[in-house]
Amino acid sequence: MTVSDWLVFALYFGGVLVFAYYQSRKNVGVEGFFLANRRLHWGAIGLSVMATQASAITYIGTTGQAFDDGMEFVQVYLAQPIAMVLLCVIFVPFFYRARVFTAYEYLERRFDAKTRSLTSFLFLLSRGLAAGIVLYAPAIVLSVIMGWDETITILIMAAVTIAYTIMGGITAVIWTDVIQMLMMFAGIGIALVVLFTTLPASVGVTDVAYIGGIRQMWTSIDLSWDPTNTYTVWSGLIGGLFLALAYFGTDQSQVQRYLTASSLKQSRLSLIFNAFVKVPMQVFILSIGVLLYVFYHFERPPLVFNAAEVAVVQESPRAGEFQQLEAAHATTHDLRRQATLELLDARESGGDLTALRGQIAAYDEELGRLRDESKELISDVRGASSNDVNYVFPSYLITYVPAGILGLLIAVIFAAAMSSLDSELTALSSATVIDFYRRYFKPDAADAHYLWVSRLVTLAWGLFAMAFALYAGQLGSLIEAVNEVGSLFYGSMLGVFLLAFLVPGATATAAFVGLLSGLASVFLVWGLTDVSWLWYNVVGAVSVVLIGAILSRLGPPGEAAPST
Amino acid sequence: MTPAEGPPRRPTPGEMPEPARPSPGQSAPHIEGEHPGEEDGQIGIFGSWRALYVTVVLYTAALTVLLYVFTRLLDFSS
Repeated sequence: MTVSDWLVFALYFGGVLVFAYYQSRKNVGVEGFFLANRRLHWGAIGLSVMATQASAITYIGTTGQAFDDGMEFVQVYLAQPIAMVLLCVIFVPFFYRARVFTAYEYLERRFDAKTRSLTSFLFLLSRGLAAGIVLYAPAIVLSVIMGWDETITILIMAAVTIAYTIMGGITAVIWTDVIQMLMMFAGIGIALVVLFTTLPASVGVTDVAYIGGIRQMWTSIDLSWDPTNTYTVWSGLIGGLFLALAYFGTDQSQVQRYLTASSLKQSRLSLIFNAFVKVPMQVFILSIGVLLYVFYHFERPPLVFNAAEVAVVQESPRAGEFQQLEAAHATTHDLRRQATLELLDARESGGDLTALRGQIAAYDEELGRLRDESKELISDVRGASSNDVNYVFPSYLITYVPAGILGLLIAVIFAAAMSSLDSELTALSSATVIDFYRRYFKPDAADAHYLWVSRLVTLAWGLFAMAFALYAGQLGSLIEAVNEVGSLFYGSMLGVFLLAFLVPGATATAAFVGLLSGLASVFLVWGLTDVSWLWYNVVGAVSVVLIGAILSRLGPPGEAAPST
Repeated sequence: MTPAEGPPRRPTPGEMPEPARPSPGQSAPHIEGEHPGEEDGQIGIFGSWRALYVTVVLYTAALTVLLYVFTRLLDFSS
């Protein structure tokens, strides 16, 4: 990075801290710290909702995924606008009128303390570990790509985020999220423009569309019904709907955002904003990946984008095998490049394209096979799975993007990580303090005491996330397990809230047993079948509602809950 | 005695009081969500919430169709 890149970078960090300090002066008491005294505008909340969802891995991982598999991932988000409408109609009014601090607090008012505590605990378990990954994943990528020290990258990111979150609570978090989300929008636009400018001058928009279309990279709708296929329009519309309902309706890191609104109307508008913007944003992010795929028809890409993994295999006894794969990859790439240039000429002169398309597709398949083979080789050598999907976009940035802009785009990756981490910290802190500390240990303390404890707990969660990130490299496949565990809880958590909102006669005991049954059902599906993870949320939610509703009807008459 | 069975909490100044919790065996209150008539009226350029929600649903359908059209139009694999 050049001096101008570092200046952009310093400006970002300095700006975030100064802005957070300015915003922090508006907080009053524990309600100010966790809910901004319920006075924020939908625009700020809407951008914060988006920033919380879009982590650094969304930004760099999704582009890498589109580089390998095209636009199909967008189907996961297709039902999100519908989920926003359902949240506005069903969830938000209940939360808002109950004047709760956390989503789980509502469950005690509706059911009982054990249901509240269990759901809050599940949230703390999954999100607490995920907070560490939010830090670790971009730090490891940036350290490999930029050559930075991994520990220092994690420490800087964590220290700045913890500092402004403790200082300004949710107000600082939401307003810094606004800046960070605007930076992400700008980053997406700049990345697309830069990608176009780094293509050969003779390659136009229609050429890009054509080259991408040869390998069906623009395929964003898959109508097949296979439940083991993760990305189909049906898994997106049904599984994605339940996922979005669970994430935005039961995850404190999102619920907390729309509880800060100055009115129910502002709360709803923040989600409706998301309904209109999210899918197009995701289309643009995925387009970056497809553009990268087209770009590397003209420039030779590395065989494997993760330089750290390549270094390990090059120092192993199997380095010769890897070099052979690299040589074959280079030759095949040159042949594909030649065929692509001939195709562009033929498009201009009206020549026959069929044979050239066939050649390009065959070279493409061979390049994919060589990449898969090299990853298998790396996996064998390292004794752990190899995946370079998160390195594709940063690798392009560092190699081809001009000075100044590089600094901005790397700052965007930091912004994406920090805007997710800050939301996790305030959410974890609010659930810990409100659902456990105030509920069980110190119910009658003064507001100033809770504010002090909230800051302390935020610091503790921040340090935990930092420690987890620093040692995550030694955890190996446990990282994947942590990510997977979170997806196992969501559906059942959604189910218990749906039971609370939609089944007036649901009883506390039925809700608790239903929640446990839902969790068991999801674990069974996860352990015994190949069904895609997007369907876990459907299984969990439906099991809890069905079992909870049936048990409520079968339960003792005295426990039936009248609607008030 | 568990904390849940303890005496009602005294709200401190500036703090949101928590409503009474149901005791074991007592029926759980169903907190009302939608209040008909509340927050009605113009929502920006939309005449009502219902109009806005219908627009979001139609927007989603249009996006899905548009993406499907792109999927078909930009498939040059054969």
